[in-house]
Amino acid sequence: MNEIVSVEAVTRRFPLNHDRTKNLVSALSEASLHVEAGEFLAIAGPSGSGKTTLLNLIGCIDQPTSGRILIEGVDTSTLSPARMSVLRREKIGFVFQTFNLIPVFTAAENVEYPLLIQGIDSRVRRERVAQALEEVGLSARANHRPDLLSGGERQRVAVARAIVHRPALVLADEPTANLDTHNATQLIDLMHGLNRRLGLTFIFSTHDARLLEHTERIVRLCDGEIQSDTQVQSNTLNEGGIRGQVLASSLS
Amino acid sequence: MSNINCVLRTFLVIFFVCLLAACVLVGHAATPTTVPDAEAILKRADTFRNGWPSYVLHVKITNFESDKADEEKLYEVSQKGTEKTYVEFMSPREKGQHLLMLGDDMWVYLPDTSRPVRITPLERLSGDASNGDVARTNYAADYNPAYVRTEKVGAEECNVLELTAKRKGATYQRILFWVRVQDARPVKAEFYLTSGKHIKSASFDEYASIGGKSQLRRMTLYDEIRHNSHSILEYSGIAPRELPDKLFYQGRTDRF
Amino acid sequence: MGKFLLLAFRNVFRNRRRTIMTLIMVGGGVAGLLLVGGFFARMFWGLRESTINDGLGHIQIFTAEHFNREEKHVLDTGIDNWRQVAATIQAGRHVRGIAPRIEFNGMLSNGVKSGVFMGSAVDPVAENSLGFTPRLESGRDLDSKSGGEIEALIGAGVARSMNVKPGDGLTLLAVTSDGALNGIDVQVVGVVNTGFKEMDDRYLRITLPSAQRLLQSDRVTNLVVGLDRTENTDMVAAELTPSLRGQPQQLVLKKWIDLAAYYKQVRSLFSTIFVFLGVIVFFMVLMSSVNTLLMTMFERTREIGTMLAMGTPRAWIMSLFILEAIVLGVLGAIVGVAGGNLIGFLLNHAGIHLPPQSLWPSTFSTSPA
Repeated sequence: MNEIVSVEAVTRRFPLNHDRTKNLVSALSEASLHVEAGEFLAIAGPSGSGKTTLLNLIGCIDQPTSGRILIEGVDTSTLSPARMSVLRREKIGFVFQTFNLIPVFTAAENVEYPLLIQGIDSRVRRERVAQALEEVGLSARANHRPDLLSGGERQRVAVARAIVHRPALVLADEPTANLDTHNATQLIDLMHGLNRRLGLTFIFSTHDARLLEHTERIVRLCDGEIQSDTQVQSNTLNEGGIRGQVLASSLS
Repeated sequence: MSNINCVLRTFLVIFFVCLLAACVLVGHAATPTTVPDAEAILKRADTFRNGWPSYVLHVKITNFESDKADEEKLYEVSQKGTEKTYVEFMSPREKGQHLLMLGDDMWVYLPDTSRPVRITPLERLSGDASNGDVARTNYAADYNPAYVRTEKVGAEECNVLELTAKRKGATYQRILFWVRVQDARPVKAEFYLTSGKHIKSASFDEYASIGGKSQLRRMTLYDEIRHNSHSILEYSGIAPRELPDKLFYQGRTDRF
Repeated sequence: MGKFLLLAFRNVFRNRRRTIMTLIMVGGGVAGLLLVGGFFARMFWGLRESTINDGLGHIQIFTAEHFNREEKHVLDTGIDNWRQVAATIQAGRHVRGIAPRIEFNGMLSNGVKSGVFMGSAVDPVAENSLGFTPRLESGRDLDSKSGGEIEALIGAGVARSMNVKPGDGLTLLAVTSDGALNGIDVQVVGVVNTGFKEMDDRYLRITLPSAQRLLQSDRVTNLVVGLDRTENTDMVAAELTPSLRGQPQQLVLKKWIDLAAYYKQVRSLFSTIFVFLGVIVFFMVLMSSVNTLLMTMFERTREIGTMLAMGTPRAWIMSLFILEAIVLGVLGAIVGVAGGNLIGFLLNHAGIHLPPQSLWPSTFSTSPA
């Protein structure tokens, strides 16, 4: 099994004001995490717990203040911004809470975007886009612009966009926060299905406990620290407790 | 004894009185001469060119450009008093033209034209000679003289007069005039415009005795602006003559 | 990359109203400059033609001496065999006619008072054939065939100061070509008003034979050549220049543009104004476009962030905005050009004459006589 993501004692501090030496707040403190290929992982915690920070760091959108992050064995701190850009382009797919589709592109064109910036030939692009839309069940909506799609449909387009280039890792930051419960669970199931069928690694964050019932592994964050990191058997719903191996110990 | 004192005293008084008187007389005789009478000098100077109240002369003007002689022009000047001059143009190419000066005004008359053209004395007649240099040579009538100084020019002791124009018909605004101390015979002159610019100089070169009077025979006018041209005026045929008024007729008639 | 252009295009029309406003701004600027430029162009044309038709002609022939030195006596830098030269030129293409001229000066007198004149002597028939008619205030033009009296046209200022009117006489005094004084009587047949006081105070015009008699010379100062169309000037000048060689005197050819000092000054002044205007308009259009672009950029921060997150190179984002700006610019230019031409067309056909039609003292003669 190969490790896709390795977070090693990562801390991220932010200055509260313009003076960079004072009032630093730790958004993330000494977090460590290892993710294997093909995992379906949830990062849970209340607002402000550092979920988005952690996802940004893994997604190379942000840099740790200390510690390091390895993506497929590559230390991200050694990468130039240009190389990081390449990494994100090829290896990572993003799904955002606010969908973030390009409003002047149709669904198909939005999905096409990651392939476009990789310079892939248009015929290949067409095939892959059709495939991706099929995967998320929106082939009928391919030529609609986002303003003609419902919230759930938009997020599904976002998911299609995130997987079209078969990245090593798909990061979704609170993907269901703007969806109603029905669409929310549907979305998580969709992502889970893609994870199983296509073998793509998914890491998503949420503060909605209901969604955690469908996940295999939950990393709990509180105030910037990883509280627990537990594996759950994915196809067995157990109301009460958590069965299975406990991987990581809690950190104070 | 008192008698001798009386006589002695009287004698001394008379002696001193006489001595005093003598001093006064001698002193009077020894008073230096007053400033020369500029008016008188100028009047005398004029007589070297205007020997008689009414006269005629011929003047030949030769112009030199960078010392190369241009053609000659001939004129016959008839002057009556100080207010009337008639100049006939005698050169073959200028035949039929004449110039008339009456008081402050001057005209040129051209053949085949029915009216004269008013001109000014300063305008060129030929070369460096202006109309006024030929037709208005009576300085006393046109200028107020003032004695400036006495100085030597060459071998001659000269009075220097500063002449300032006193009427609008005067040729120049100001003239510096050098005349001989002994007889006020003109030696040289410098001519200035209203702006103060020194435009011409003259040297009065040669004189001859005509009818008992010393008259100017030759003068040279120098261009002080271009410095490479000058004109020589040679006078001849100078004689007194009775001139009728109708010679100086302003209107246009066929010449007699 | 085509997709990016498409993206740029679609982005431009995202906010219809704002885009239309910006296009109107840019288009307006372009159209405005076009219209002003057109107006100026028409003005230059008008001034050019009126300068030429006022007597400057299209081409003038002088001796080279004329420009090398000042004349010592009148016409000593004049053209000797001007009749032959004129005949040679007359045979050329596009030549409508040739008018010989003499420039001279002297004094005029009404018997009591003298004044200075700046005179020209012309062939009235040749002048008329080229459309050069003097602007008469009273009286008539010179008659080339008058047998008796020598006729003269004088300026309005001269008429005033000499207190004469058509029918009265004056005497002219001038120095001949060999330095002698000469005079002739002339009869005033017409009074001219050139529109320039300095000219009117000294203007005199007589016929060529009269001047040749006064100045005792057969020469002329210059030959004025009139063409059928001003646009042919350069071509005719090139054709004529070789035919001027081999003449006993060295002759030079001057095009009207070389001699039209006033025209050149006016043209240069207005061209400078136009450039200045253009800079201002450009700057304003630039600022408003930049404003629009900045607004859209800030509105799309999230979108840009997403694109960057997905791994779009920074340069591509910049190029996208630049493309959008270019699209806006090109569209604006098209709007401007189309709009400007349309407005121009409408203005021209509505018969509206933008001021000032009587800016120049001469009449606006638009077609050759």
